[in-house]
Amino acid sequence: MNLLVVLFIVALVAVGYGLTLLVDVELTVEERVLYGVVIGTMAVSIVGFAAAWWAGMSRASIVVATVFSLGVSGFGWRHRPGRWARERDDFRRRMRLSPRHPDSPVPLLAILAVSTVVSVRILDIAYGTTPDGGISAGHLSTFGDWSAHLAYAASFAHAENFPPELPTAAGESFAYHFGVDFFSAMFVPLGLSVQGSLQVSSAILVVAFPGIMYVATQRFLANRLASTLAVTVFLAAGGTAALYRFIFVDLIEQGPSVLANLPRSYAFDGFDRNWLDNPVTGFLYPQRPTMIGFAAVLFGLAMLWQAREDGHRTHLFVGLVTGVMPIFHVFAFGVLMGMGTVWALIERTRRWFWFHVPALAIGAPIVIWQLPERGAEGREWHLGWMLGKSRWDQTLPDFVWFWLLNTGLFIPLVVAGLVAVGPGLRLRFLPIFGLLLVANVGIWHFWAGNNAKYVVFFLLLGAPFVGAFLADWIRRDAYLRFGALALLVSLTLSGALDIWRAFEGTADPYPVPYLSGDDVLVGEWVRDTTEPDAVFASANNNVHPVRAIAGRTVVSGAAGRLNDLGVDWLQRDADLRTLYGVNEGFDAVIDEYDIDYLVLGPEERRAFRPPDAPADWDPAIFWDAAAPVVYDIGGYKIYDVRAFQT
Amino acid sequence: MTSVPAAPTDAPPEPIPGQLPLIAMDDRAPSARTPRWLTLRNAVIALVVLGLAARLASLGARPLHHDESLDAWFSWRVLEGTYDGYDPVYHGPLRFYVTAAIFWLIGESEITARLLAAVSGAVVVALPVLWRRDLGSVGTVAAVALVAISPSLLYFSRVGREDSFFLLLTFLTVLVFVAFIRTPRVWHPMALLCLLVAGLAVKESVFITIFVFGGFGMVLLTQELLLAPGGAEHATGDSRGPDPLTVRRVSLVAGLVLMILALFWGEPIFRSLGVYGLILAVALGWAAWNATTRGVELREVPVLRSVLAVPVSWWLTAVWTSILLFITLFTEFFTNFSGAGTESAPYGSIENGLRAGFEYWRGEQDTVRGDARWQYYLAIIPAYEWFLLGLSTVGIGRVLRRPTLVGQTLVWWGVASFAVHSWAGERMPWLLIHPLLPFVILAGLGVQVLWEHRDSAWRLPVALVATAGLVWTLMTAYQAAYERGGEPQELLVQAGQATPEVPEWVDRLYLLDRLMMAEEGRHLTVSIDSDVYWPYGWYLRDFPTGTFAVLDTDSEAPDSDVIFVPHWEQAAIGGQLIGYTTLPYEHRWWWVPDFDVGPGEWGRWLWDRQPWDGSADDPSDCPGSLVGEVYIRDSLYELEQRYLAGRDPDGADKPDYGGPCQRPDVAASEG
Repeated sequence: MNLLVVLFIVALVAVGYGLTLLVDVELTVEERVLYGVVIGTMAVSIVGFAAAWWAGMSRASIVVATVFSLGVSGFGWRHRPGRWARERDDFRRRMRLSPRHPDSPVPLLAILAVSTVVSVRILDIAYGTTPDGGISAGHLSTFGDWSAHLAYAASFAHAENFPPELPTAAGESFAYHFGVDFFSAMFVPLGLSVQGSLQVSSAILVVAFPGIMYVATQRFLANRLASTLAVTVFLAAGGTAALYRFIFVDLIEQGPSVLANLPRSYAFDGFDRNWLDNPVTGFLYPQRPTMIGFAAVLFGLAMLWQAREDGHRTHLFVGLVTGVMPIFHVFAFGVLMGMGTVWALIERTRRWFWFHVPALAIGAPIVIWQLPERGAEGREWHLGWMLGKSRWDQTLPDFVWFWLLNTGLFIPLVVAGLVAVGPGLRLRFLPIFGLLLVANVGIWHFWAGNNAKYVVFFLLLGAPFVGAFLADWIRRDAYLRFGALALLVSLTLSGALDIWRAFEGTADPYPVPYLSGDDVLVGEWVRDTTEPDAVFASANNNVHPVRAIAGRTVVSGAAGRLNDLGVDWLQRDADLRTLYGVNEGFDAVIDEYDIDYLVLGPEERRAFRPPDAPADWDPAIFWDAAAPVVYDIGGYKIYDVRAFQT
Repeated sequence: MTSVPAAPTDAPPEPIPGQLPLIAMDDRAPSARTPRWLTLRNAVIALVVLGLAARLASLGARPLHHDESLDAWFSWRVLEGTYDGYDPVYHGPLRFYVTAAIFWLIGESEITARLLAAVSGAVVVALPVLWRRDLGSVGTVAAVALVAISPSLLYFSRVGREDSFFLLLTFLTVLVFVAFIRTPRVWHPMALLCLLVAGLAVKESVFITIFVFGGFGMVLLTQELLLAPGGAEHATGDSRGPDPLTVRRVSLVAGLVLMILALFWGEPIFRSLGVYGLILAVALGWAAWNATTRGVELREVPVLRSVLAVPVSWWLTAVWTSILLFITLFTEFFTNFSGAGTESAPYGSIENGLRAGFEYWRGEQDTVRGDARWQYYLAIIPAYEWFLLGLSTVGIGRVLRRPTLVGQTLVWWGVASFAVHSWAGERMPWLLIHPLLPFVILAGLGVQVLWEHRDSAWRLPVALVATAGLVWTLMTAYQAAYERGGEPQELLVQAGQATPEVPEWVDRLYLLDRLMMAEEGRHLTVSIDSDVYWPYGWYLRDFPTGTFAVLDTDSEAPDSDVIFVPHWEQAAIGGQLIGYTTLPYEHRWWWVPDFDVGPGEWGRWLWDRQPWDGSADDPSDCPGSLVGEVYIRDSLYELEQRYLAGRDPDGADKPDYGGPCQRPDVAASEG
């Protein structure tokens, strides 16, 4: 990390801080800084995207975009002259208070200190090196989902992906909320590698998130203990598997030393019985758009809650944030729209017009643009989510046991918490059960497991009420305090152990080899010597250097992820097999995808080998004679196949 | 006179005669035209942020110095669990532990290897604010600013050795020492002892700190005994004793002069220091006798009163806590009691901490490491810090006119440190920050004095000189820290500084290894002769094959793919190698010039860092380097060239000395 990166981070927080000064509601310095991290990230990313599209991805375009964003945020600073100075003085006053005082920011700072250490450590070990000069992955998040995010970020950083196309499926529109990956790519011209850009950009957002959740929950509950517990039960959620698998199996078998090398994940069992992963290790880190989406939902709703009696400016602000949300996290867009609509019906005031118009006017076209080509394929009405779609049966006992295993007593505690809070809050948050309903009445994605993306928002918005319930018990008497502690352990043990496993960093099998030294060589060569808009034919495995290092567009990325995005991966797989098998019509494949280069490496030889191929099968025999070899080192050859394009 | 309350208290300290009134952090600078936002707090915060940014900017850019690489390597070994224990040759383990923790949290890199030094340096920038009532508002801001921009302090805050961290611990020790004498708290002895133990666990130079402030404590106690009012004086309120200012001035100057004479007497050091200690003890004894005869209640004498103000139980707690800290640090957190087992650390861990460190340090004083000239610091410090030293003379003048506790402490600390470091057997550029820091704070006091006399007729010329000096200092700091920090013509750069070729070769070796794996399915074999091995030991810590080799002119050439040899082995090793491409190589560089050259040479160096050649026919005074050759197997070299075809490899930037010391390769490339 260099000074330019630090200045960029400071600038985007300043941008976000300035923009929050445009809203009507009163906020504290810490709220503005924390919300400002996310708002500034969104604002600078949008402006940066426009600048990079217009002038190319370069240090100059990033600097110009940042300066322009600072200028725009200047309206906020000028909008309420003196407000920020008053808020700063108020912060100083509160810093001098005893930590026990309700206005003291010390608990928030403690939460941020913990989140900093945990996040920085986990992200630091996200990537390592292997003895062959390659790259290792430190977590499942890095190995899995981040392979796609690397490709997306690298496509902006190194391949001038403007207008944006899906770099893992040549010719497809970018039907994905890529905003956070573009944000990462902005760090590359400032001096970071693509991997480093993912680590640093993630750190900024995930360090701030627990703080955002705390201050937003404070706005709903005005209860520091409840807010702290809400942050805890959400971030350490993960079901009840550890109550048996850890306490009665692993701990008994291996003793306390098991903590130094936890043998498994407790919230995630490889999509067998557990379908709702821990929000940190299963959502925040791997599914990078949630870094912005979770936070935006929380501060958006907190601002709207505060603005119940205020003017329309806050609604307009949150409406604008919601409108651009499909770029960053389309699920957060849906949640904000849904909650906003219900809240509008409850309040029935004109100010909601200012929310809905910008949110729909900006958001709807983006969502339509993002709709996958396969339309409604894969969607169906289905009761009970994974019941009947996995080892779970569609029976009542399995239904009850499924939710107990995956969420423990979280759902009943949300109900109990909602009963305990005031009617205004209760009414406004009843719609969160709709998120559970949505997940239980249909399969909405090409992969059924993706319904978890609705349930996790239920956990996010239900956590404050679980916190409120537990805080109430803790304050009553010793027996209830003990009960609250037991409930807290039951809700958080699995997730906490999973976070500890990621933090501790020595859990088997990670770190695992990710890209070999040979991969790094070819990836850097492609990045440095081929045209940024070149299209490559390569293996459609989990990670490939042409995608992850060079960011070049390929015919097909990992099949499973293309399936998630609604891309016809099967046809692309068949086309690649035709191409590598040099079957009839291979030249039409080159033509169809405008393929410039064909990569023939170990993964291509493995993945595209026909089942009935003779022992000496080798596509190189054909391609050596048919196309110029532009790279031939180690196990890789790259052919220039542009001559086959018509 | 220094006064203390009768018992430890948490109440704010009373104003002390001779000091300025307590300055609140939200006080504005003393001018009616000062803007509202310009408070002491805001100014200090801004300067500390600036100081931190200056210390962090491009922190990993300069190639590692030999010593930095060793520090980083030992820290990495702590992290890996292979650290053998404290060995005084490499100094104390505390910084290895801290850096290992940094590595664990945010990764191993050249930046994180230097992070402890940088953050320590930034904390040092902030600390003068604790003496704000002694320095004044303007003096405090000036001291903070000057510490932030001092070329030497900035440069060595960016060097991953122990110096910056040790300077921080020393400064904290001095702050606690002064606070204890002034307004003792029950925790002061514990903090003081723990800081000394922490200092010992960083570097054995803590013995210098103890010597310097031990002597100062005796002088201070002598002053207080002579100035304490006797029984009759107490009753009448009349003081018939000696003039306090005279006593303080004379004792301060005499104590320092005696120390300098003792250090440079020429007798064996323990004899001369023994004589010095005896003289101080006699003076102290005489003062005590004098006080007793005048009916002084010894318990009321300030320094003694501070000692007695802390209950015995707290003194015992302090001792036990510091012992526990000592054992914790020197036994690697109770995991290694057997010690490193090296020649310089032959005892158990605890005994090594107690004995081996002192024995090694004492032994080092009989050798000459670094520059042999006792005038070394007299030349090098003014070369970078002439402006700050000039300001500090104004501050010293203020102290001699108005000898407050903090003022005396600063003068004693600065002059005594300067003398001890000039006397000590090891004179290295990084050691200059220890005597320099008190002078920089005194420079801040000097600015306060100038501010107080801002209405004098000299206002304009002083302002002009100060502006010019400030600009020059800023430019020098920038050049040394960022532009030329790794180049030999900077006198702050020591002979172990690696050239930019070293990190370039590191990247190249990893690339060659990947190419070798890709083409031949085996790892690259590398032999780096022990004479040019560091800092590769750190850079190549994760390299898949061993890279260390001991070669000499009788050696058989190793059968490695890449071989690094120094120039004196080129003929012997290179002559045996067939099928290798030979590349010239520059490993480390340095400049050890004669200082007694004319003002023209110094002027040119000050102007554009043009080094001078001491004599017309012998260029040995010009910057030199450890050169050698790198041999790469031909097939591998061709493969690398094929892989890199069409790309522009980064070339190592070499300095252009100009003048009589122009580098032949630079001259050739320019031609």
